[in-house]
Amino acid sequence: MTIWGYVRDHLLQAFLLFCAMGFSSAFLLATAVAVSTVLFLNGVLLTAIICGCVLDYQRRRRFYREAAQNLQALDQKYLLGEMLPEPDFCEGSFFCDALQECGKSAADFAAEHRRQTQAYREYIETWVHEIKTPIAAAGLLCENHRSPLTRSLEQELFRIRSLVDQALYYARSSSVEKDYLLRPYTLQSLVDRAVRERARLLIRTKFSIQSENLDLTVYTDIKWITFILGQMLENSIQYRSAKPALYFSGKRLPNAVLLCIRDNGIGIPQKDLPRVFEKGFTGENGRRFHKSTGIGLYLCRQLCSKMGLSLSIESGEWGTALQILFPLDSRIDTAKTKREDDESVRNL
Amino acid sequence: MDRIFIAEDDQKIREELQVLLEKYGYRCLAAQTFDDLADQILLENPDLLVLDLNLPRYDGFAICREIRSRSEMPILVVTSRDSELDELMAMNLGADDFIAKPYNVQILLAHIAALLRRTYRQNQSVCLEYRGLSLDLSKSCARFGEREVLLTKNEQQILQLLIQNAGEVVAREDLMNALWQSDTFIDDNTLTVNVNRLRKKLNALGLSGFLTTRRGLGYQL
Repeated sequence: MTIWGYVRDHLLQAFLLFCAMGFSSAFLLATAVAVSTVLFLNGVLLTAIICGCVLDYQRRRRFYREAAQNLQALDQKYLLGEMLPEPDFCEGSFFCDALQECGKSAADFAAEHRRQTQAYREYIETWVHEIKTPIAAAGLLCENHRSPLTRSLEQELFRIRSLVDQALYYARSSSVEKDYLLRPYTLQSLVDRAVRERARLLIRTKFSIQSENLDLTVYTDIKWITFILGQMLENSIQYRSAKPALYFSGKRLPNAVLLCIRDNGIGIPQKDLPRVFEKGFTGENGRRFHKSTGIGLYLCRQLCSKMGLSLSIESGEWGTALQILFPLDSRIDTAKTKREDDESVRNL
Repeated sequence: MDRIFIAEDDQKIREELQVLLEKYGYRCLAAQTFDDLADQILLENPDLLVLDLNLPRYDGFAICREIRSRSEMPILVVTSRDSELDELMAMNLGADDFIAKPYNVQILLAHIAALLRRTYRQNQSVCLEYRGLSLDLSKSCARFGEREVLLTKNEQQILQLLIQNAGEVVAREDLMNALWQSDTFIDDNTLTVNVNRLRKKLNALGLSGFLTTRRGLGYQL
């Protein structure tokens, strides 16, 4: 609120005032009152009115300036109503009451939504845990009655499992930090675990697996990283070439460890490449194969950024390569002893 | 024969797990009611307990604590909740091992075998036998009569799976899966080479024709 803004707001009053003063002066002068008396009266009136305006301006300015400062400082803007100073003019009180009302309703709305989201997320988690029992039962049934039919059924079961897992991790992705345990692992153990989980699929699709230089230690959460690697493997399986292969390689950088997962699949068109991490983006290949949900890589990127890992992708005629960068810090020197501790605990 | 108690409330899983474990040479006991589960288990005193955390009446944690306070039997906890906290809690309450549902059957079997070996047969050799052929898992060698050959890790694993499913045709895919589960990601050709080497070694023992190829299906003892 500037002085000019205030003046502009009061132009009509000022105009009427001057009209009234001119009119009454003319009247007084016509009734033979002395000019000096008329000037004196006008002077007194004008002074009183200007003083009133200045005081009023200051009062308002104080209120609005504080309001503006509070607004800027607030994270949740809808809470402004609670932070306002008590105004001593009636527009201000109305404004204040209205804002408080708005804020309350917005807060209620937000809380209700948060509650609903939370409840929904909990439901998804419970549901995922419930569905695992029948999936496990079906898996055992397949194992106990081995035949070409059950083997093919097993594959479908695995896909169900994998989709169910995706739902679980999606539900959890907004709260990674609540269930997150950093421990040292070698890249080899991470890769082994992810490949092992998808062994049947990879064997059936005749993948050859090669790896080099995976004897590097990183700090990470085993569950989340296995999920991320699994999603990547699934993409490699889905968009494989006639003689599919996967190459895993590790690289030690000055302050980080790089894990590269390269396949020799059909690759991603250059024009799609910048958008593959977007939610719901399926791209040309995804549409052509009618299988893509556009969730997998989006989730990978989400989880990586929550875990402080950076994820990049390259693709061409030769296939697709995903790179995960694990930042290191000084703790890495203690990694070895720590791992041995863990193993001894495990062996007890 | 090792006796395994299955504490699992889902009937289908319980039954199929029983069939599976019995096929792999264990004797199985299972609870039908859960009101006095801990007492049932202690009464049976099995060699190993497979315990689901999600049980009616008392949850798995309570059972685990009670069993551990009165017995030293090895406990393998199975759960569909996969949080680190569950694992930590189960271990703290005295469980010996932890596996998440839906488990890979081969991994479950491996965990059970490892736990039993750790508890009861620390230094004893583990042998599988079939028609006079004995496979010593701790020394990785196969013996027939007086003759003996050393096996590589892959050969041993192939022979082990064939003996465990003796008489049945074991698909190449199943053999490869078993090898992949122990982090040996071999391809089709390597499997063929490994099986051929194994066959040669068996021939050297005087067991020619012991390992047969069923074209398009797999291998059979």
